[in-house]
Amino acid sequence: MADQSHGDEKRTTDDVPHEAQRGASRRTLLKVVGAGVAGAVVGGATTHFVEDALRPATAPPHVPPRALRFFNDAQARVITAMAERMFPRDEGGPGATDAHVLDYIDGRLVSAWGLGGRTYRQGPFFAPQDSGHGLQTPMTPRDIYLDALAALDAYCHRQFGTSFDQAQLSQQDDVLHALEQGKVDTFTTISAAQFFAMFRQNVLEGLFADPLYGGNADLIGWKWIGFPGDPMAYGDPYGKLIDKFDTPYNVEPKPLQ
Amino acid sequence: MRLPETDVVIVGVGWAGGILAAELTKAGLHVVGLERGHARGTGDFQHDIDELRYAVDYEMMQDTAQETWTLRHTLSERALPIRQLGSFLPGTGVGGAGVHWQGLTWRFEPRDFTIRSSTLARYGAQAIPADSTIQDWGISYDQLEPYYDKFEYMAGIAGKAGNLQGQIQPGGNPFEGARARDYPVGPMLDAHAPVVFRDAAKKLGYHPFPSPSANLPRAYTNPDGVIRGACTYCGFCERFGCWVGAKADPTVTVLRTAQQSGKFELRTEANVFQIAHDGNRAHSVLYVDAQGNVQEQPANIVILTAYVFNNVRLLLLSQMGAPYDPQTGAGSVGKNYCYQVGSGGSGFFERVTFHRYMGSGANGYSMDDFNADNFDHTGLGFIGGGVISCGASGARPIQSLPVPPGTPTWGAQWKAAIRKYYDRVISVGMQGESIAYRTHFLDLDPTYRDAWGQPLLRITFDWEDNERKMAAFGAAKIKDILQAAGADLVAVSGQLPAHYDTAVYQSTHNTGGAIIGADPATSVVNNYCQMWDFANVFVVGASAFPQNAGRNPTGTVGALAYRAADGIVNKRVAT
Repeated sequence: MADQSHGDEKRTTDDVPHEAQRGASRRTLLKVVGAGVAGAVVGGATTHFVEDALRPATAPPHVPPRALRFFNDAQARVITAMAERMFPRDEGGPGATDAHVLDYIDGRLVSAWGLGGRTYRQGPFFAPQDSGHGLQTPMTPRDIYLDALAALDAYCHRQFGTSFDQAQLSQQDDVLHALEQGKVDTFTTISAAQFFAMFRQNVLEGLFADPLYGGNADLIGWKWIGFPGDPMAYGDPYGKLIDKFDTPYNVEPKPLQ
Repeated sequence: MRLPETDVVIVGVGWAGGILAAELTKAGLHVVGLERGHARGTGDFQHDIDELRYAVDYEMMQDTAQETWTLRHTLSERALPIRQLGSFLPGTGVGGAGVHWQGLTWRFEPRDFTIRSSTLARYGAQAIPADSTIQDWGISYDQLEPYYDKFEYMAGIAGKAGNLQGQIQPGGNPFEGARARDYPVGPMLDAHAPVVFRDAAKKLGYHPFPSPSANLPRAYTNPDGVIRGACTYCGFCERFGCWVGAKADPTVTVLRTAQQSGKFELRTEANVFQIAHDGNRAHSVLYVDAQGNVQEQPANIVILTAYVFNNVRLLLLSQMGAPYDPQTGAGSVGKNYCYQVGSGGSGFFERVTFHRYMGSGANGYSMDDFNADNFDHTGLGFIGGGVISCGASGARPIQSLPVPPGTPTWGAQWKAAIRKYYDRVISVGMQGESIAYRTHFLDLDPTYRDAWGQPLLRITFDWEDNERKMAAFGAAKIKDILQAAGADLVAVSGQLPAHYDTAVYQSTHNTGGAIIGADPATSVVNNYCQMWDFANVFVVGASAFPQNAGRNPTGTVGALAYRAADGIVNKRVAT
């Protein structure tokens, strides 16, 4: 991965004790911003990193300067901030931004899934009369994300006068709780709770799917929980270990080869 | 286009179709197998350690954009399409759901085949729910035993007998019906979580035994001469294909046998939509090929071996047999659709780790102490029960991150909890019986159609009081076991939702609609799975179950397929 600044940032935070992290992160962030701006000169599309430099040190890491296939930059900042609150970088380890969850979701939305693949989309459509019928909408996941991001932006501007990513962290958490409980009243075409459930599932995928799909960068998700990845990468060990309950199996996870 | 006639045409090439293809070609018949999906085999699964592709995106499953089902909970509700897979996962492609299955290979218990008469004899008529239409199978366990045996030896099932010719065997299942001989292969290697479950169950006086598994613990050569290797315990079985062929599936067993005969023609991308007949005999089957052209395959014998739903749907689309009428109870096609009742629990441990990522689909321990009628139901308010099991089938991380109840669903606390508990949890589940009801059935939907313009199948189904009580009962037993196992925190779920939910995975054990029986007035097929109304048509699979037992269905599907083959080849029932 060409994102050198990202690697620097991670090492710095991983090595500092909790108490020192705030200041360390801030220094790291400034260093990263430098890299981001340099990237902007070449790529020409990353001006939002300058804004990030003005944010408090507890803020989530920046959006890495990688090209996107679906989201625009403002949407990418919101998705990044939302995912980061769900799986935040903290003293324990890296977060959703470090794991490139944004890149995963961006790719997911241009995949067959984003276009409603494997979904029966013939009408007529009716609102279910009772529970148990799953999603009954002609909207594709792309439609749902676009409408949800617009509704979320309207809600955040009304509540806080800012976009989601510029709100205070506690405000961001309040919005996520409201989404989860279906209480964000600017949603009209789909329920806030349904969008939240879809987004949460996508965040899980971005953290724990094989890195082949753009997320789980540096195997952050797998390392976090201790999932070894492809067992064949270590020469078929499970058949020798499965009945040896006290033999530890601590390996660096490996992706699909 | 009308194609040259063949002896036998098989619609759907999964376990049932594969078994019939193998047995009938061995007997010298020419068989054409029609499969809607693609050809596939172990070589196609080299990159299958991929949870997103296979488990989340359903790589091996039916494409619901093209064909799905509609669901309503009651006769008066408007049925809505199941727009995405969720509750159950029928396969598509050669081998069918038999390629992505877990490998749990059971025999039903003797009482399961006589559920109505056994319940009446022990508890009286008042014990059977008023609207229930459970009925005896018209075949006994003893009649089916040789065919179970044949399936187990063909597939190389690993297990431990509990009842050998009437002698109870220590360490096996004491509640099972008598077997003529032991499993062909001994049990799989023990995994940690199931052993903790086994020891807790024993402590409570129950009778745990190794779950019978189609995942081979050692190399095995079956009676047809097919050789397969041992399981690697990679933890990617159910929803995945086995890239080493250690999991028995039709492509590495019966279809090899059929292909070696030189008398089997497999035709893929063939989507059958109708059986042509004259009211007494079927003449041919009509299908749409990959280019969208209609082809007609004439045959002397027509065998439907698609998944439950399409067996029934093809009968309805072809106007074969009398459609079931839930108001009058007349007719049988579509009758007695059943499912599976689930309850389960998790035990969280502070200091024990389980290597949960290791395992294979059917690896584990089970107990039958609360299955079928192995316990006194007096005063419980329900009939039936289920097998209680703890498996080690692999913990793929997107879909297996259990946390204790009350944990936030996101944020720093959730992040910490998934790290802490990913490998410190065991899960125990009960797979409960689903009995038949007058208003649970299958028919053609009046509104929605598939990509080829044919009506979708409509499912009418919901949870009833009997099932709610059974699930709660099972959860209470599971709670006892998890506590006896020494879990620091136990969470169980035994409350079924307000309505059956099509969006949440529960079980791919759908049954009924073309049921077996002794009486043509109340069943679709006789006990060779031969249609009462069409001597040269067989409908084989879990569609034949009059109600569902508290077990995985594949062993019984296999046994019924071997019996149908025996009927065609040796008893000449089709002529």
